[in-house]
Amino acid sequence: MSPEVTTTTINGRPVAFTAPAATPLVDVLRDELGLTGTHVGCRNGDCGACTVLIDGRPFKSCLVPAGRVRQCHVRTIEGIGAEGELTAVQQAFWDANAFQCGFCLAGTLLCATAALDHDPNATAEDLADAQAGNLCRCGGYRKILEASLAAPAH
Amino acid sequence: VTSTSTDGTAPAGLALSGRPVYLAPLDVHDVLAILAEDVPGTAILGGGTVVMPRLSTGAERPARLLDLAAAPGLAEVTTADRTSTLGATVTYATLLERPVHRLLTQVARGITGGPQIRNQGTIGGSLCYANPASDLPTALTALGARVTLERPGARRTVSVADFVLGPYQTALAPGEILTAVEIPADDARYGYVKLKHGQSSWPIVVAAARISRAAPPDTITVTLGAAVARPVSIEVHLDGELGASLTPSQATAVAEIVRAASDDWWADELATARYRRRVAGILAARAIDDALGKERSA
Repeated sequence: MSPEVTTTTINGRPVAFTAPAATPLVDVLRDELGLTGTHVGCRNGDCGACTVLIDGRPFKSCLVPAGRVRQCHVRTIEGIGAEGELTAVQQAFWDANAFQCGFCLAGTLLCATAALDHDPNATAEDLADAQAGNLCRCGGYRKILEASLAAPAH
Repeated sequence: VTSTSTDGTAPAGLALSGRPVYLAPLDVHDVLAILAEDVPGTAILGGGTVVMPRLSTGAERPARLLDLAAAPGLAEVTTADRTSTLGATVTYATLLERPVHRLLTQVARGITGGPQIRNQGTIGGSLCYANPASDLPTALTALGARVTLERPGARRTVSVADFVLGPYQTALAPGEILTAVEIPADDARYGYVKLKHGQSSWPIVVAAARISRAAPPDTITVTLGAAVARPVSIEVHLDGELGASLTPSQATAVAEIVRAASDDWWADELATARYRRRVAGILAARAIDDALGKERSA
């Protein structure tokens, strides 16, 4: 039996993978596609380190069966910005030192990006809410919020 | 929508990939047809926030994964005859984007897990999981909501109060799935509060309050979750007029009524039964205050 192929779009490129469709998306991204910027933390939907954007909305990819992203647009942290060129949110995170070890960055950066894409005038409350599904073990929440608020100015 | 039971043994065929066969039918008919095949070890996936971790840990090893997410008919929101009908896979995000009731909007905004879980968690999944600490079983009990349960060739409707039988236990029969939730329109005032000590924690106690406008006016019903093993509604009769908030003596009376309403309080790793009984009384009064602060419920 030949393995079933799932086709999707990841970071703007058409992608086909052969992992079983019930596999958590995070494992397909990391193990089959080599996109290791998406991290594995808890596999329980608590930490947010495996966050990706699916059709522009943040999801925890440990909770998503890979078969579900057929014909979707998935964006991982590797798909933010271009080589040598930071997005406004990335630049704001850089300027504010909004990451330390970087483990939570896929979640914090993608959630800030999605919130600001949805509403460029997002309030401090909106931007804090955007991070409610992410755990930063370094305790960098204040810097993450400062960066998120400063991002539209870039 | 949580899984049908499995016996915990790895079924034949699983060894090939170590993963269950993934089925994502495009409409409810096909979902029911797959259920009619009556294959043991078919886990049902609503949003996936509960079942996927159980697959990752090996706590559950189904032969087949039946994903409801590909059936758009299960994600619809419709309103007719003063009743809103929400498909089983309506997410918390949809409750915020297409508000059907102020209480549900408030609940959806405050769930644990952030925007990622709001985008994925479903109303049907929360009900079928029946975690005592989950917000929706309590909120939907407070609203007098009803659920539609379907299996091949049969359909029935039961109240949410009768659907949730106990911790992680529902009235779902084998081969049956929850397809929709009906919410009657209601002009009562509602309030909702919960107690949790960490952003990412399940709540320790949740409380919804309903204050009627129609006859008899100002009848107060408090519905508690995680306080006892299933959502419980308590009628609260108070002396004196209701103002913009409870008086201290009214709040004390509420707490006493609530604490006397059960002698079997829920206990888990988050809190003892004694603690829950104590805070349930306070949460009930806060929920009433939250409702009193609202002019109109939509």
